[in-house]
Amino acid sequence: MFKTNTRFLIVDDFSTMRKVIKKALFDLGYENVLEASDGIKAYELLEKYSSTAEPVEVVMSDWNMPNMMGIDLLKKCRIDSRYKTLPFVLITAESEQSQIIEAVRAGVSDYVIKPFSPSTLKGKLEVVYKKSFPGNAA
Amino acid sequence: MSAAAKLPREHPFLNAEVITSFSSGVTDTLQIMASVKGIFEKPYIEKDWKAKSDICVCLDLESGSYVGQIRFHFKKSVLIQLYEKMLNEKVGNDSPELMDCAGEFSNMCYGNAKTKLNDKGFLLQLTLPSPGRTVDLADWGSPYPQIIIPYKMFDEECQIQIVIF
Repeated sequence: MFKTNTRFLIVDDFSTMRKVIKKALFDLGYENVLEASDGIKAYELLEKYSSTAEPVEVVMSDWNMPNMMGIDLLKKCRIDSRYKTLPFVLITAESEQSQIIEAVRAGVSDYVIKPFSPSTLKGKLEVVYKKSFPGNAA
Repeated sequence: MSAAAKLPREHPFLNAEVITSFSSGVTDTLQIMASVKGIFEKPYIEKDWKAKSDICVCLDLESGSYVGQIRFHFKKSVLIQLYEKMLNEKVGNDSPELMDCAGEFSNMCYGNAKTKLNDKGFLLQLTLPSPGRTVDLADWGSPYPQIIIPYKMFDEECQIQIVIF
């Protein structure tokens, strides 16, 4: 599983959902959490921390947001060599087959369907960790 | 008062599946996010229904050439309890977090229902929720009666309103 000092970036236009995810991460021991309310602000944070000692290590983003949607943030990350393999989880109420296919093609690490329970989130993070760091998986 | 136009039977938003899917969207979201049971009552149709809610979240309904709007109505007292159950923290009666909570809750209910409906061929489009004060809600002047789906959470009345154009 990800180390407890892993830096997460939560992206959602609703602060309630950012708090729900943040609380779930806190309960799992993750306290190094950044927040953004849309894809543009999220990308700015990725850039801001990319060359620091503590870059963003996992993005958890909503799909449907104003300004820049989560799927567009994902695509923007995947064409940038710095973020090509960055663990990226889409957390969204949009769960139709066509959208899942689009996300997989864009390089999503995994997909959490809203509404979700904290245990679902934990399970998805375990899967993402194993996919991202196969050699380290316990 | 003008007579209401007759509801067009072929309109996809009048399909029973729509009512069932939005009802189960609310039930599922409440149960998973807040461990709360939503109790649904019999839907009804009314031409000049007036909302008594404090906060309303509007989402456009669009399926091919058919358009409408779904509105989720809440009293503040309900949203305070919902927020506290979802986040395990207190919130004030006038906090902007209540409107935000209503927006996200409705977004999840809509997404849940949209997935079920689109699996059945409804082709509902992606839309952004717009939360606001019910008193500020614009009258869109639909000629048709509205569909009201009443339910209770925390023993208080809430409503889903479907408006078609």
